[in-house]
Amino acid sequence: MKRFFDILTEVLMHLSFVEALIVLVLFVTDRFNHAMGFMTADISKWLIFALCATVILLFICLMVRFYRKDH
Amino acid sequence: MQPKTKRIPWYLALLIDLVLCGIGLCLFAYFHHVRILWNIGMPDEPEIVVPVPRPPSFPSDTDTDVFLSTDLTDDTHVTDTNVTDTDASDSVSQTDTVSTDTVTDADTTTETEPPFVENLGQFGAKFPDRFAKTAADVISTADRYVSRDLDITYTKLVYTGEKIPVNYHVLDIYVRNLENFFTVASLTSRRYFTDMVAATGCVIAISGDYCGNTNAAYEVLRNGVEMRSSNYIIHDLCVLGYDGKLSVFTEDNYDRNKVMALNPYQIWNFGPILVENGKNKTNFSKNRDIAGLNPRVAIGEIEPGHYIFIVVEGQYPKGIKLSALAKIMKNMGCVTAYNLDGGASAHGYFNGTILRNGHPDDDTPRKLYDIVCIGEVAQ
Repeated sequence: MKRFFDILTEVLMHLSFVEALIVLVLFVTDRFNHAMGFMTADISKWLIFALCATVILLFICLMVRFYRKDH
Repeated sequence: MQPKTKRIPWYLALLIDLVLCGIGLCLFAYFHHVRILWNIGMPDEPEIVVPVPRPPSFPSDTDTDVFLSTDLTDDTHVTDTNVTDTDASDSVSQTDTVSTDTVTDADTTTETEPPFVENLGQFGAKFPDRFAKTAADVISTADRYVSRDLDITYTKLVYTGEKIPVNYHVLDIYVRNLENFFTVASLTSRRYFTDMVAATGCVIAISGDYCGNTNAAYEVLRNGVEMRSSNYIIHDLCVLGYDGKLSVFTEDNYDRNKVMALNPYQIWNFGPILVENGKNKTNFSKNRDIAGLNPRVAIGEIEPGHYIFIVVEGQYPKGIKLSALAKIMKNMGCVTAYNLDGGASAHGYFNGTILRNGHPDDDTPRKLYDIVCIGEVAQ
């Protein structure tokens, strides 16, 4: 179980980094060309949703990890 | 003692993440630009919604019935001009072939009492001296076009308010019926401007609002047919109602019910608003990305049935700013004016001439989703 949480934490860590980077690129691009709707397209909203979901899961995994360390 | 887990070096992990990010962006671009995945309110690909234009025909002066024009009032919209494609010389008898479900009392006019042709149509009575009454009145030159249903004056001017002077083209337009003001649009396929102009045979064409943009917050309605709907917008919106009036909405005062209550004939979603209630806008801070020097295309309404189209040439550092365009539109007498897609999309056409000289993309122009046209339509 511990090994599973370790792997999951690592995967989520990288996934959240990749998703955050994509959102950041879209945010900057949107500043230059607002008309293309890089931040308002439905696919962008799903991307932001995925980022949130990943970060929440990462938070849970890290909490479990820290809780175990403490006890 | 537990064996130490072998880890890949940090820089390799970072590199893998960056590659994954690149792949993610490519996937995003594919689904955002090429293949639209989710919910933008697209019905079954309404391809092109446009009445079939036909060159004007003028029989002998005695055959005044030919001037019979569909009366487009608020309650009688011509949304589908199912006109039999007969030879123009048969037009005297064409009141019988027009789809009867959309035509008003005009087709019941008797031959014994020829109507006052100058008063027919939605705006015919409003501009009685504007349109050609007989074949002898028809004008078709490089700067003027007058026919039974249209009166267009073309002027080429130079704007000297910037360091580099730039040409702009002004089209002063009177239409007898609103159906002479139509659009060609597709949400899914882009075509060359010249191909779309050739397909319609219109007298005037300008680029539209790039309605195939995958931005979800787009309301697109063309020739009375809603092609995309949205309960919110992020750009100013322009509505041409069946009464011939242009109305504009910002994202703050946008209310879809209010828009639909205007009985929209065309809706564009690009902007920004240039002139509202006769006052030109001066602050374009919300549109910083397009406010600078650029080629431009704009439409304006002086009064219902009387419109101004402007096409500005150039490419950075040539072009004009939005504030300057707003001032020009106001000085033209526009009560309402609205900016359409400019930059590399800016195209114009008048009576056989392309109004787009010296653009660096002239050899490989950008393909467009839609154009706005003024032209002859079958009655």
